[in-house]
Amino acid sequence: MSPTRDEARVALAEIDRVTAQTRAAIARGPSAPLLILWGSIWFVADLTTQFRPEAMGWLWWVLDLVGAFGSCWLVQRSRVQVKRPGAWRYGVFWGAIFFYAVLWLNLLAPVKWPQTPQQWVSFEPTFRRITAYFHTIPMFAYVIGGLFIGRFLIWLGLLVTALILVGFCWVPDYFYLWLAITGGGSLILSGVFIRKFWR
Amino acid sequence: MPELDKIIHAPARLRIMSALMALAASEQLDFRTLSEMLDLTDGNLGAHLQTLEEAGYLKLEKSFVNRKPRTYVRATARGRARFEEHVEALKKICGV
Repeated sequence: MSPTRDEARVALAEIDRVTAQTRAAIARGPSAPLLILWGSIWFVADLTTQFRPEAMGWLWWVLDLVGAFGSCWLVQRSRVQVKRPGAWRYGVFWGAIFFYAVLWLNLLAPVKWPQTPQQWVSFEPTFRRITAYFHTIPMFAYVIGGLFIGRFLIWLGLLVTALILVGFCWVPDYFYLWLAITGGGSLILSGVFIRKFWR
Repeated sequence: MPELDKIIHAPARLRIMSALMALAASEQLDFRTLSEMLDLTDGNLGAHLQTLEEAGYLKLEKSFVNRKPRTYVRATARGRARFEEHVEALKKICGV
């Protein structure tokens, strides 16, 4: 027996609802803890750069490694499990991009980490440019990812990029503190928002 | 002319196929995620998945993750085509 018009309408509405719910669940997946993890890493690293710049030569490497292994672990234990053929390529892709950026930065203009406060003063403007640049790369990835996952990531990427530029241009003396609060803070708050409201 | 599919039209199976259609063709959703999202018991979901698999609309793949068994589900090309045809038939009834 063929369904009535009302039954067909209800079935179509149910299809739309379940499809949207599934997409949201997949997008939410490990996003919240990943945003909180990387927001915390930004926060600690940028805050340390502001107040203890001599420690940053090695601390960035340690924090990036923590972030990389932490991300793998969070994706692995995510409750929403979607199997994507070749998903490991995403990790390799981002690792290669990061490696490429660091390698060429050092090949073209080797970074000699300052050993004294005086050296830091002359090195800081260069480091500020490098830091601003590196912070915009993952935000660009958010914007691109948002094209496929959802508008929220696009707005987040654009907002944090704008905040980075504002800090770079108008808050140079406290740029790293600015990054810690606006950049790291935005990521942490976004993670908390997703965890609480994306249901 | 698009036709309604009796197998897909059952409410639980319609929801299962809708969830799988939200994925890319090469992606698979695991059994536990599907049961939690659709609020179906394991037995109920298993029975509907078997019906859909027998019709060739989806494929089940069993594997081990951290030595624990895990079942992944994916809509086949045939299942996707039949689902889209079913949706078209529903739209036609609604006059959309």
